[in-house]
Amino acid sequence: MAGLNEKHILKRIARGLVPEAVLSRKKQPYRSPDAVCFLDPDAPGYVQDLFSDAAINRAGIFDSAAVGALTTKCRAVVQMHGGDRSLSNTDNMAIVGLLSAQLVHEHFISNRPQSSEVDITFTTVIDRLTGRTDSGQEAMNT
Amino acid sequence: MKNRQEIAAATRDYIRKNFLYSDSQPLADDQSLLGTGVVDSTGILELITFLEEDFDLRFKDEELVADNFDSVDRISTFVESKLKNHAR
Repeated sequence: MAGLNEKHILKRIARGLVPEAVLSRKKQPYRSPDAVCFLDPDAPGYVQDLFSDAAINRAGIFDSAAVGALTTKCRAVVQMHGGDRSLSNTDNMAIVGLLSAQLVHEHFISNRPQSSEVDITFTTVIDRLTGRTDSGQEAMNT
Repeated sequence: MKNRQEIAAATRDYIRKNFLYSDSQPLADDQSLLGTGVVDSTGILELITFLEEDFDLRFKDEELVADNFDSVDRISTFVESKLKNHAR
């Protein structure tokens, strides 16, 4: 670190190997992936499914009417203008945020892996009221 | 010609439908749209395009400043004055 000059040491090592223009280039913002790819008519089917009223209500995180209004507007904007410059940053982030939250819900809450095959027995019980601690003989080394 | 109240109502309606996506979110007429994150820099262009189309106006580049567009109040005052000048 040399102040805000990122990768200072790497740049010193690379001097002579990498053009000066690259070494002295300022940090540039980069954001990916953009919402446009999820609003395209060719977007994967799961996107449409996760944005449906039924899926939004099942997860219960977002208001399905508002999500419907947002996705309808954004699809129309993308269809009319195309390209990732057409959506506002706020709408863009809202779409990606919604989809991410819906995906997390779908994979880790709705369809979480069944744990019934793994039999867990607690061998150490700590009673926080009395402070008594029972350790079973087969207690794990924790 | 639409009056100030009608301009404000149309603007509020557009902001609700296109930026807040809700009828229950608070939206005060003197609220800074950019400052409170209701619209961002691209959103303000959407809003300006709507105003130009809906009120059949053309804004000059030098008029595209926050003083004219950063709240429902500012928009209705500015659009009303444009319409009045236009009608002369």
